[in-house]
Amino acid sequence: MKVVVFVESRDGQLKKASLEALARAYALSGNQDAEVAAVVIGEELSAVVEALKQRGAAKVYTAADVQVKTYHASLYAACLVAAAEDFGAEVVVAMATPMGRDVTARFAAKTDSGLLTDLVDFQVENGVLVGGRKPLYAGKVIAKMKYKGAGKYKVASFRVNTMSVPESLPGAAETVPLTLPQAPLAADFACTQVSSTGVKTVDLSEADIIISGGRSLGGAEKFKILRDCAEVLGAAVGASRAAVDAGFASHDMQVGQTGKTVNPSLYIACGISGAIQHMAGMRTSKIIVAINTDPEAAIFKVADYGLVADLFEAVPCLQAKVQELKQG
Amino acid sequence: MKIMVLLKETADTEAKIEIDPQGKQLSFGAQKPIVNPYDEFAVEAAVSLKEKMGGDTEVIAASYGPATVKDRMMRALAMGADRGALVVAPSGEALDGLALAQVFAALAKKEDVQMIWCGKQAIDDDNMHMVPMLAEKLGWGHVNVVGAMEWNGTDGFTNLAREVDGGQTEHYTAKLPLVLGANKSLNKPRYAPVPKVLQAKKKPFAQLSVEDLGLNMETLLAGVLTEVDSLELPPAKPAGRMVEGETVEAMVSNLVTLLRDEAKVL
Repeated sequence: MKVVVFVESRDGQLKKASLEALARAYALSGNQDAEVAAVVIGEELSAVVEALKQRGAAKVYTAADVQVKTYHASLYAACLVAAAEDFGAEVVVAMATPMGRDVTARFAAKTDSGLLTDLVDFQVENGVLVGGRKPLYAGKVIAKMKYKGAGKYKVASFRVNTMSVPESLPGAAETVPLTLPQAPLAADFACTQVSSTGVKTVDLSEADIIISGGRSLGGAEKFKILRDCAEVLGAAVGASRAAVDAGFASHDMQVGQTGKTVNPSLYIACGISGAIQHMAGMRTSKIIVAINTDPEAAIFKVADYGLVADLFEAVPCLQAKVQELKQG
Repeated sequence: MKIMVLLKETADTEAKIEIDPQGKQLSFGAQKPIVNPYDEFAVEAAVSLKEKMGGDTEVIAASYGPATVKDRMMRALAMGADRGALVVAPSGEALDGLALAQVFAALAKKEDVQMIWCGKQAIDDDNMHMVPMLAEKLGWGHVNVVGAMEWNGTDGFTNLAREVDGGQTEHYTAKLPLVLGANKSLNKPRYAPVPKVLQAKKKPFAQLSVEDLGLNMETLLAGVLTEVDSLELPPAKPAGRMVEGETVEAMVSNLVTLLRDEAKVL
């Protein structure tokens, strides 16, 4: 099965989650690197192409141009079309990241293809991709989804952190430059700037460990104890909606129904009561730790390990113990 | 100028979900369905833009679904949308995102709108695909997950802030026509007092069929390329345990040992 995989680069660097996309594509192809081609788009791509060697793809289509330095949905989708056509792909995959979801949706509409989003696995029958499973209602239901009808390609985005990525796979990643398609939209549409909140943090949606705080932290400055602990853990810092609404944390840190859905190996909820809206965003974490002074807090119902303790005492202690562990 | 806001009916977050024995149908107990929460940010965005633009700007609240969705759409009319347009779905025929995008594209053309707002995603299937799909079908630009906007006063935006990941934000300048997806950080949906709720019931409301939009159900159904095959509840999580200890330090010490040796996540 010929698979084209969308690889993300930002500022000339490969996005870590894209290696998982490549591993998915390689598995889909029946472990045939010759059947896998990556597509990478951006201004300067040499570092990304280098990082794609021995990652499961024999070919890498590159669209390197100043016009696609920043994300442009329509142009990116057009590059993906050019690559899928040239390669003779049956399947097009990406990770279910903000960019991966956006570009696959535009691509599917452009090519009249079936799109399944946020899959946690896939199902192949007789060498054909037939579908996969995805969570609905924030993980309260699992749906087995299927492709049907006469779509041009089968398009899928996969949830991040749902498979382990091997250190290396076959694949020479030989580059094939793509000619940038003519801008399909008028020139008066552009991403002119990418800004950053300044705090260099681990991505919530990609993080392997997350430590989150609730309203009981009592103030924005109190999040420092979580950030300090996160640094030692190599974790990202999240927040409950109550903490965001109280102004203690920014919305991009919010985990839950109207924030981010996360899927880390370890989720540590500190002073979070466990509102349904919060649990909707973190219940699929592999291991959940809850630290709360209220033994009746709902969060303990989903926690693998619960500590009835004051977070202001427990979190610095956790930081010290983990530090010891890492040094010893 | 005409602005369209798309609304989706979803199950309430608090609803208890049950699956029929065949694994094909979901039920949600006695909880009434709600408007997808993100769609309220979209309505607020459209209504606040209309207030800025003044003149003859009109906001149309639109949806696709059974006739009962009308009740849900009243919230948008109470918030300030001028009229409703519901494309009534024949019973038992499920459209996927791509087929729905064709319905809304046809409605947008019929109404001659220049701007469409949606919630960035719906909380039932979390697909996040309507904004890009609809834009592609119309040949327009789109920005999804908009967390801030600055209208240029005439025909576009000097800034549309798309919130991505890693604390990064993409800033777009864009002229109409556009499809835009609202995030929670964009605004605070207004409260609709009782008089506005009553007024909403008197606002014009059209029920349309797909044929009214120049489409045909058979062709639309042939264009459905994905479907739900079966549904299941996630495996029940084994009950967790409380980590004991004489002092907080002892508890944390036990926790770290468990995380390392039992859970193997440290």
